[in-house]
Amino acid sequence: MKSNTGDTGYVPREAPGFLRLWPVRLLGWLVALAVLPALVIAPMTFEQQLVLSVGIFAAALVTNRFRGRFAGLVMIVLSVVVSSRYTYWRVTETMYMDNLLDLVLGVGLLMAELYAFVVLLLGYVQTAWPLERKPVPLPEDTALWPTIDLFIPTYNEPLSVVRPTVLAAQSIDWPRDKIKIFVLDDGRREEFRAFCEELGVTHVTRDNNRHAKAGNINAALKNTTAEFVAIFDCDHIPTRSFMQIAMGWFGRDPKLGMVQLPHYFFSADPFERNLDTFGRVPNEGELFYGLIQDGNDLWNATFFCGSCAVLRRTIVEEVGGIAVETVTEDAHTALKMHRRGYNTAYLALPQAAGLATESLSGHVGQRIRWARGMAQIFRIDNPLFGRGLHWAQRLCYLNAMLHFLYGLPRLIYLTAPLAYLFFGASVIHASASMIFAFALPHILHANLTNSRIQGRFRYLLWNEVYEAVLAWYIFRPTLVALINPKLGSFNVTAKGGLVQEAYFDTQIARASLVLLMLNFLGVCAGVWRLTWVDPQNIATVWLTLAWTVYNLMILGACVAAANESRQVRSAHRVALEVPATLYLEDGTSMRCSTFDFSSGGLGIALPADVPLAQDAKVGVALYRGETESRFAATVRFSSGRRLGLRFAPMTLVQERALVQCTMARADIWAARWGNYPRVGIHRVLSHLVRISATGFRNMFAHYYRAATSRLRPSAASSPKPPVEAKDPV
Amino acid sequence: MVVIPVISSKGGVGKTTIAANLATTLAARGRQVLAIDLDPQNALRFHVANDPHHGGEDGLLAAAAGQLPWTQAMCPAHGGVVLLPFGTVDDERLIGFEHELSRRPGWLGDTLARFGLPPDMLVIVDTPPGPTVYLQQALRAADVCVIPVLADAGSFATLPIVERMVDKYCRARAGYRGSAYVINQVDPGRRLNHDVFAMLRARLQQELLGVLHLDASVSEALASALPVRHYAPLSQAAEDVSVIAERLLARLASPLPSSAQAFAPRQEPTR
Repeated sequence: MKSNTGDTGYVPREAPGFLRLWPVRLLGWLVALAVLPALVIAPMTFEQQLVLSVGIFAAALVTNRFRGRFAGLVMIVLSVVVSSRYTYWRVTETMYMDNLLDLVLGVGLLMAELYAFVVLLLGYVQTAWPLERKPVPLPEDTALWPTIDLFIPTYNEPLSVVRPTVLAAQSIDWPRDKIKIFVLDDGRREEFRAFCEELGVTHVTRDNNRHAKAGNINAALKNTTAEFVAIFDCDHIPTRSFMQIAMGWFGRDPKLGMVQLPHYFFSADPFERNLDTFGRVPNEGELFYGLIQDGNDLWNATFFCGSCAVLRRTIVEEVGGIAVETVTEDAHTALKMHRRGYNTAYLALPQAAGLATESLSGHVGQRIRWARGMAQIFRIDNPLFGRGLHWAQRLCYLNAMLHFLYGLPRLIYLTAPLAYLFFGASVIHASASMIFAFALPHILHANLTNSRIQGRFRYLLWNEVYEAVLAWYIFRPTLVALINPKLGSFNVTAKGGLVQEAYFDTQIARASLVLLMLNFLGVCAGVWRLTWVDPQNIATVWLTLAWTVYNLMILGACVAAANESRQVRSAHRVALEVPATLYLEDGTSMRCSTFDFSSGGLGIALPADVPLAQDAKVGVALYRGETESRFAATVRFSSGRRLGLRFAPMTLVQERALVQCTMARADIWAARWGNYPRVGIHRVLSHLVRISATGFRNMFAHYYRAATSRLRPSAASSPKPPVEAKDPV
Repeated sequence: MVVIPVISSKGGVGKTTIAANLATTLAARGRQVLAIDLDPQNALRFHVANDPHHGGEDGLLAAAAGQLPWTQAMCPAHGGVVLLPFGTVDDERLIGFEHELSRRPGWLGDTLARFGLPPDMLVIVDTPPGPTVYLQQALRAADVCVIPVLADAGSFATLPIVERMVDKYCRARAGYRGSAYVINQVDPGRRLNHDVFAMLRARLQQELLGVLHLDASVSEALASALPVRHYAPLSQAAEDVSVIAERLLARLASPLPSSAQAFAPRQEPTR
């Protein structure tokens, strides 16, 4: 496997033959089950614990050199044993607190650690064996193919965002008389009605906006009849092959209620844009669609993600339509299907692509909604209880919900060392050496195992950054939803907006800044303790200081993520390298290739210098297989061998052809998706340190500017962020 | 020796242009190429000959009449191609030659056989438009026919004429490798062109070899007496010609269709 050769410098081998014989494996499991509990609870001295830890870690390192899922399972078992031992030790031996402050803070930290432990275990269950389901071919005779209603719900998105989606939907390869397209316009806009009429698709409105998107879809369900319902968010552009890939499994399994495909984003999300990691570091969603959904699929616990999915009408109707009780109607609908004994499926093939959220505040708003919705489901329809689910489904759902409760534990981790540095509070009743001997193996095993499982989809430590940015914002709404699931309001994720000018989003960064300040003071306090106060606890101080410095690094990256870079083009530029032909006004042509595109224009790279005047008229041809489409354009800029073109106004036919040649190309998205090389820990660490340093620099620059502009009141004040993070509570 | 006539039922579709560009491109790929102008217009020399004035008088006709040896009738052309021009002649001699050709239907094949060409040598034969004695000669000797058509209504309407000729003289022969259509002067920007192009593609299926885009470089190259790949190497037209040449070579390298298949009229869409 190419992806394994990354930076770690080795290629895992096939496990030796004798290990693959079933009696050997059975014996292995029996021994393991007898010995492991003892390993977890046996009390040991520091030296014994050290020897045991080194031994098990060496075993994990050796195992990691072998390829295959069996080796992965062995590593999971080792990691679970080590973490269980740590947790058992933490609960039984480190909680002798002699004052109230220590007790409160200590219990808080223990709770956060127990939470992390449970999520670690559930994560292993969820991702140990991704199903990697393949598409099933449809019958040869298209007369046997079922009918589909394709829904495109929209509320306040501009028409320019929705246009390519509808045009691409019309190009889906499926018998014309068996697929109908409905634009579900909850904004009731005349502009949309006219557009739909021009295209010959149905424009659907309703007289209220109850239950937002779920209500919108339910209203449309009542007025349509096809056997299957496909749902695309208005900015998810489907490829021609979408239905032929997605529909096959329905024919094989009559109890299959939903097939979900991944959400692929061809523009950079705010993290990727602000941290400049697009295409280099897997983004936040990659782990979910690359691994978690595929892992869920093994347990028949794939859940609906609101878009890029096909539902079987009879089954959706049986569960009462799309769920409206919570703000994550999609996951809740899948839960209801599972409770009634229906199946869901996931195909890890990107067959639709869309725009990522525009600004960090928009991104945060979206995650707040997900977190709130999951907490709501946890309260009103808890997957652990109730009928119809088998144990693995319960665990998969439980993990999906628990995951979003990371807010408070993450905040505790980011502040826990401060209790000792500021107040000398002893939140873990143990010596530094014991903590070291127990906690370090726990952390190392979890990271080693997860990087083996997740390597292509999530780099080590990055989840700490993603979570730390969001922790403060999702902590309150999840808490409120857990207390009273009815509180809070619905917020729509804004897409297609502009970030007019680079700015530092102090609103979003505020939580990180406060934490940063506290940790910085913590380091000062640590240095003070090191020198004057605690000479007898020197190891403890060092340990706590190291933790604080690590926190500072993560928080620096969070601050860097809040530094919004400019996004000023009215149409998104998406990197795309495909062959093209440039036709000049004198009738000659030149073979070239594109480097990016947008709905308004195209960037092309020429094989030779061509002197072209600004506004010169040219034609440009793009290809889709054998089919060629030519578009009239004018030159916007010309620098050497690079050319920027602006398209002339297009007919709908041309616009559709453009969508087909660019955004609706499954081949390109599929090639980009999930193909990140595995990267060694030192690389990740140095990358994060660099990002963190940039974050500090930007922050100081911002506050320096703010301070100097305050001194000179005539200077322009810093611009307002275009999208405010709505506090939904 | 592989005989590749370039034929058409209609004039002005770019036969000579394609014959010339195919010849130079195949030669650039290291193949030995003999380009024979079997068209009394005698125009192939303008596209490929190193000295376009050569062959103004002496050529295939003179050699056929025994007035000069074949080797003297041939002249070097671009990129190592050997050109056998038709030669300019008066009406009487032309009528006499055509009469001779109609009397000896296998004349071209026999003559080429006497040359003793190496087995992998490619012989590109340019022909006049429409059903003529020249076309019959070329078809009787053909291993594969290159048929340029335009993406316009006229080409589409006259397609059956050339198809009937090919069916009559070639398909019945074992060893015939089928027809290789080239759609010339394609301009997808124009609507009619686009629609006819789509129809042609649907009709020709796997017999479609490739397309040559409408590109001013092609006529400019002719004016400069150069093949397109020399005149405008980065153009779409040069790319098109090279794709066509590559596919033609691939067709020649693939195993022969069985005679039954070769005899069957064009394959209908089976999809």
